[in-house]
Amino acid sequence: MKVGEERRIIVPSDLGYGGRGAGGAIPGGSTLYFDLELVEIGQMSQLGPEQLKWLEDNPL
Amino acid sequence: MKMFAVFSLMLLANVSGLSIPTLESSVERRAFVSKSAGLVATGFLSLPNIANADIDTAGYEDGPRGLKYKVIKPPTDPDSSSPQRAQKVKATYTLWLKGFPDVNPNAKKVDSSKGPFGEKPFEFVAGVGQVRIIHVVLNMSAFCRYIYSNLINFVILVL
Repeated sequence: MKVGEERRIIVPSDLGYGGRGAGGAIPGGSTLYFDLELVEIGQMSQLGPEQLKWLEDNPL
Repeated sequence: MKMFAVFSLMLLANVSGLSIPTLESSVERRAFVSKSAGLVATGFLSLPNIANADIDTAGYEDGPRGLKYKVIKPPTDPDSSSPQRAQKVKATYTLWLKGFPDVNPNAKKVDSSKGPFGEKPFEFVAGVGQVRIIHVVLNMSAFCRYIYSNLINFVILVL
């Protein structure tokens, strides 16, 4: 997704809040519907030893 | 809350192509998700809702694991790059239940970056789960914010 791009996104319940729901506003099993626009891509985070280790320990 | 972070990471992995899960692992995961859902929802949920009855999804692209999307507006510069992991991003969003309001009059707005006094883009670091926010959760509003940030997090990187 790139800056200025706008998407409609349908997120199945199991990728969202699952059977538990959230905060009373979102019942369990809810499909989530997002209108979303990427407004800006900013700076890269400062990556010190701690951050680099975290990224390595949590690969995509 | 950890569970959501894990989900978002798994989803990212699926899409990045760095680690393609086998069909078996995917099936096992579904079974696990289904069981967990059953436990917390006292049994009335069966499978995650892959098909949804709220709106007609014709014209949507298929994303990973049942996620669907449709480009509403093209990027400002098609040759620009997508965000990298650990890069700061800003996004505006509205979260609906029951579908989008123009295709389902029963759609209900649950959260939005747009308030009565204007738009306030939500800023976060892409692709890192932002788990540090857990430590400063003080109220329900902050809690929800964290969850949403995770959702938007993977949505942006994935698509």
